[in-house]
Amino acid sequence: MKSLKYLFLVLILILSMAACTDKTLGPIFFTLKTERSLVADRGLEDEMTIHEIVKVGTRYFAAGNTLYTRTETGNWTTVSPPVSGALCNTIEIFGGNLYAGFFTVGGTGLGLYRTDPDIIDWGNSPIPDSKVQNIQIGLVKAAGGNLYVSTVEQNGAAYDYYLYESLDGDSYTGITFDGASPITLPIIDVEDDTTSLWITAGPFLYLGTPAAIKQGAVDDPVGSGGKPLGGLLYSTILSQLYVSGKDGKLWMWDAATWSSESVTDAPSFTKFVDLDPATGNGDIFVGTQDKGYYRLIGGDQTNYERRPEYNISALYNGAINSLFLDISVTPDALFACTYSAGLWRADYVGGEWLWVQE
Amino acid sequence: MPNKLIYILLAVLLFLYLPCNPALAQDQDQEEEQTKEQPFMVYSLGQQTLSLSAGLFIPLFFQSFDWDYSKTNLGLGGAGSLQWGIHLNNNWMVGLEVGGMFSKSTQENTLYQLPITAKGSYIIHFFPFEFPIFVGTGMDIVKYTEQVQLNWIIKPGFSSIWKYNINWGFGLNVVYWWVLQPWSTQPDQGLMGNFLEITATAQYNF
Repeated sequence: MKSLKYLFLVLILILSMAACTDKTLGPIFFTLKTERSLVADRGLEDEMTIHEIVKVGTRYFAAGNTLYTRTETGNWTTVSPPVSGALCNTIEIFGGNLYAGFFTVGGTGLGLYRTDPDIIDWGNSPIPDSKVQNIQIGLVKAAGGNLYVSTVEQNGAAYDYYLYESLDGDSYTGITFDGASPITLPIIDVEDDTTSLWITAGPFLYLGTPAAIKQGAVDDPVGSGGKPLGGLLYSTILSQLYVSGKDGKLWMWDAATWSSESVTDAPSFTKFVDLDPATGNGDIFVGTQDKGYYRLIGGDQTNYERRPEYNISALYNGAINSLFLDISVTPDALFACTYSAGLWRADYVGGEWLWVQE
Repeated sequence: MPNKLIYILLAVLLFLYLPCNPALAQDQDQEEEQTKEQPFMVYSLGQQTLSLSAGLFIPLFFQSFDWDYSKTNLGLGGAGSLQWGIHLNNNWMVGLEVGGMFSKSTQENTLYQLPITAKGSYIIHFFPFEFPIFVGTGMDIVKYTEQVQLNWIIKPGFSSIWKYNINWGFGLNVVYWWVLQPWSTQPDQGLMGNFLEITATAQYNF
């Protein structure tokens, strides 16, 4: 009888140990076993902000106020701006050229510049259209074979936002929103699948064609206004449009109906990236402003998980401005541009994205 | 050598000898008495021991429940413990031990473990040395970044203690930490931690 009592006590002890263990974050020893060094120092500060990264040929460019560049295997070096001391917040590759929006330290917009990415010379091929000169550039993005440029102009205490479309990078045509231009809402993202154009501005989604953009009829808050939207993605793999909200909502349009999902913990979503189906299993990642990024498994916005592993704390609790996938290298590389937590790169190895800080 | 110096040396030796003398005398008396019944009778029922240890923590390897081995990705760390024991006779002692360790991981995060164990020891005597062989078992609080878990630990080991006098002993512990961390929701992620503690120890008997 006594031995039964002891056995019972041991059982209680084992059960209490199991009960006291939080199973949500995974076992500690397994975490340690799979842990890798997070340092792959490529010359960037760990606490810096990176807005965007692009690649042309074998060369990357990163806009982190200062413009940086590196080869696939090299370290980051600074790129001289067109005007001494000018800062850069947005970049894009279009027609083989590097386009970059510059502004002064005082916040005065210098406009859109372009250069051959192999021989940096901002004055060699100036953009002739004055609409994108001497003005603050909010966004420059290539989509559907066009280059879209958003500009910002102070108007008293408020700001006016313009959006232009260009087929060649030289001349720019203004886009009107329900017949109006400029609008007073910041233009956040643009997507173009060559037949339709979608734009997120403040809390609204606009859709149509460049000639006739209308405000979208998406569920609240997109339709009625509310928290600003985050990013836009048209997945050519899934033929679906995704919209993220800063109130933790994700919308998906499958060319027929809209569906929405309120994500647990209501993360403030930012930009998307569509992963290569060969390596990413059709997954879509979407950044957040304070909870790393979320993986939409197989592109299903209702089936998601917060990433990366919790012990990569700078990313797990990080603010991700944008994500960039490079499938021209082996292994595939995914970049996360963060606010005040530097630039992170994940190599896709053994079915996992292994993160290191550049 | 001048006579004065010899006297001073003798005085110093005498001074150093005096505090030891009662203990040694007692030891001698006890020894003489004990040789009649049982050799090296140092401890008896009810005597207690407090031990304080500190030293190195050496991560060895992780082992899965399928017997696969892997690196711990931990660096050399530190360990310490406080132990209380009560002697049952000259050879057997039972007690409790509260320990702790820390070690840095590859990502510069710190792993902490705090084992609280019940412990049984068998002491082999070679006066003035003792060689306790022991095993402890109990719970181990494991903390790493935001995660805290409670596991079962088994700590076999041995010590070499030099008895400075009847109260004090100093020596070295070599202890194996075997920490079981099964994981019911994903059994393939369950692992057993294997670590080694090498610590210097000071023990006080009363």
